[in-house]
Amino acid sequence: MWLFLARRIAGLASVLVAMTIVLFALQQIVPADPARAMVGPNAPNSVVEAKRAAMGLEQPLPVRYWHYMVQLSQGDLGQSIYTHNPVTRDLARFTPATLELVVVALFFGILIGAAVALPQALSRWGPVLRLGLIGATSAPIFLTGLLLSLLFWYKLGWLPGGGRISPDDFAAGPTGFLLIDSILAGSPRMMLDVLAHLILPAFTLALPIAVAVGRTLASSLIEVYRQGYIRTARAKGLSERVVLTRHALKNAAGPPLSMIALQVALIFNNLLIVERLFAWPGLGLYMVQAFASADLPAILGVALVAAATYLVVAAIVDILRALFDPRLGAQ
Amino acid sequence: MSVRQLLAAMVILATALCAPASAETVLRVAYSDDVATFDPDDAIILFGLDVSRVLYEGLVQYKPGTTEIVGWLAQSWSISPDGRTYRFTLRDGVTFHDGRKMTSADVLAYFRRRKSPSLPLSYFLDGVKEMSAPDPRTFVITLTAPQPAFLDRLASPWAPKVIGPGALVDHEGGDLGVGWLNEHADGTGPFKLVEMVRGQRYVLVRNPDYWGAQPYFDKIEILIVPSINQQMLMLERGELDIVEHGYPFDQLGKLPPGLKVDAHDALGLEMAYFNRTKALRDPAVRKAVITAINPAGWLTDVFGPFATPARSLYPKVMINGLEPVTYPTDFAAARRTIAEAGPVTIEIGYADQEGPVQQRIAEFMVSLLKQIGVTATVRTIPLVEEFSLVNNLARAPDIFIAQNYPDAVHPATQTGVFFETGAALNFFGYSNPKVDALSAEAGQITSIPERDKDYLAISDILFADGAFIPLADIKDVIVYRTGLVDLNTRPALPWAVDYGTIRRE
Repeated sequence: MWLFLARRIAGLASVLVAMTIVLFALQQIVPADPARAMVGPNAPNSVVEAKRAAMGLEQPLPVRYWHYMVQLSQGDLGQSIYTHNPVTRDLARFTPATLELVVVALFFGILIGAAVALPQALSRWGPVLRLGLIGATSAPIFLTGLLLSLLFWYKLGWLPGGGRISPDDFAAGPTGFLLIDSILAGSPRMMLDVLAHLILPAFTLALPIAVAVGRTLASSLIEVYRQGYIRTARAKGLSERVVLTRHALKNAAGPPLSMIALQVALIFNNLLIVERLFAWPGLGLYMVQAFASADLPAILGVALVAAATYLVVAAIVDILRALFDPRLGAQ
Repeated sequence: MSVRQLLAAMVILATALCAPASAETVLRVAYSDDVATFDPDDAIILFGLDVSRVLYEGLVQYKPGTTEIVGWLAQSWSISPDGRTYRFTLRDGVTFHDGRKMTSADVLAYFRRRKSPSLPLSYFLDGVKEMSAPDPRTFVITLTAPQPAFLDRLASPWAPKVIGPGALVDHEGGDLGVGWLNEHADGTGPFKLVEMVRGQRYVLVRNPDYWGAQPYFDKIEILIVPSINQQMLMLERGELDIVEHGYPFDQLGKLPPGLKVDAHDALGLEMAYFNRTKALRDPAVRKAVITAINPAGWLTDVFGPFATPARSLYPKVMINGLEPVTYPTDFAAARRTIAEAGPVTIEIGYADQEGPVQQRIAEFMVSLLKQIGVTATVRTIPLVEEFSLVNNLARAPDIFIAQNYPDAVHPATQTGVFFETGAALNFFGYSNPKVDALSAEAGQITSIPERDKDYLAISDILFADGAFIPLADIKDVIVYRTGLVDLNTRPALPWAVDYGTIRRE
């Protein structure tokens, strides 16, 4: 297991290094001026030149890259051009919001996917349910999010339309994960408020996950139910519930788990839209601001967080797959 | 309890929790983006000027609704006959947010920081020879040469605003306090910054020790809401009190009940910048193109009643009392010119800061240009790319349209930022020694009518050269909930109400 993890980390490190090289090379092509972005539009060119020199932008690209990698090895991701803060400080503030949203969205996605997949596999209504879910998610995610927001916030007023917490309950807790902070604060009111704010953005993000996981699980279950050991289990007189939970689900879990890992990689694309739509103060919002300012240190920082998140999730999925299927563990 | 009952209970609870707050003395406003910094010396910001001016105060300011300069931290001032020495008498009884009493020594220490070359906005004090604090209530600035625009620079939204010694000494941190001031404040204004959570909200509370009239609101909450549609809906539901910028012009005529519009003249001038190195190299073609893009053909469609045809290359609040610019109107002649010039294809770039509005203008221009036989395409130019256009004119668009703001109300700030050789927003590198000479001359004239004559001559030259095309004076539009009064907007202060005076009826 440790060897497996070490290999994974080494593989990710090489991907990250390649990514930093590409992003640095892009700086030379993109016609943007980070020094101008930092000082603002009206400053005279002399001020911009001074800022450019102070930022080291006049040095050759390989030199700048070398300096960046030396800083990176010391845990320093540089200074954000937009917020003027150390990128590590910004990431520490924006990442918990995104991770909290992603975890809840994955929870919803898996729950809905499973709820839809099980009837699909077991009943003749499966194809109808599958069509229904695909229909619900065939709209672009911004449209789905907008419709949910208009209905449940603007029209019905049942749920908040944006942000992580109501202004009256606002509390910047020690972890930045507001659900955990609400528990630490012993405040059920805050927890319910945070959950209410999570529902719409998490549900919007969860729908594509639910479709992907649901379809994969359903196909996998159908395949498993054709196997001889299921017939044997039924012939032994086991109830359908026991057949499902003890035999079918364990053997069908591999493909949906792989799909979940893939969805985590893809979810960052949708985050840019969903965080904007629901005023969610996470990495998507930070990334949009960073792009507008040609803020390479911030962009690289977010890319590193996204890659690290994917590594962790992929490793967890691999461990779970090995637990469900001992043959994979042996490999 | 059944699942259905549980869900119903949760919905009721959530509804109760999410009901709009009704606290009478909290004002809620939204920004589309985070503020880069509240340090008044470290960057030009647009979102955040409203907050900045109630945290920090300068020596002078523009009076609400006008371009008249009045005292702020300076109770009065005098200018020496040679125009080089400004002597400010400071207001008594001013304290910083940390409770320290303000003296002229604090003002001097702050201005020395502002003049530090490592700070981007140090250029506001270019030409300052020396500064002194001869007594606790007097602060003196001596210039190397007269600068009739100097007082305007001190009244600008980005002017020097006094930071307290609590920040400059206690939090100096080897970087002039820039790191600390990025998200903290220690000024003299009517509000204190008590919380700044990027991406979420900033909170200001009333400063009980403020030297002037106490503000009506106890607390100002700035929420970061990136989507303007979301802001509009929040305003309608009462979750916000004001949308200070970005409310779509085409929605202003059909506002939901309970909302009002404040539309006031501002410094934002819509201009077209011509890249004269490609398809628009020929003056006759430029003239034909100017004929087609005449704002009369699109102004009302884009802005409704919230814009007027430009009167010069200077906003009308800068130089008033003029007739709108006269555009050539002979479409037949324009068509003939294009036919003779052969196929003319141009690219129109528009600034992405005001994306939807600029895009609409560009698209109107495309259809109008088609009428004279010019084929035009459109693309957006990100803010950070605008300043690199001059480095590669061959790849730059032929026309760039944008709404930009000068530093202050004095025309020298418009000329110095846009029109002079090498100016920051001279996007296509236009250079004309006559313009530079006129600008230098006008910059020394104190008589306003005489000075404006020179600036209008510059405007005429630039228009005749087909380099800068004045399009429209755009009003600053603020939408707010009925019942709010005393917004006290200022033409020179973009996207901002005065939190120090605004109140509920």
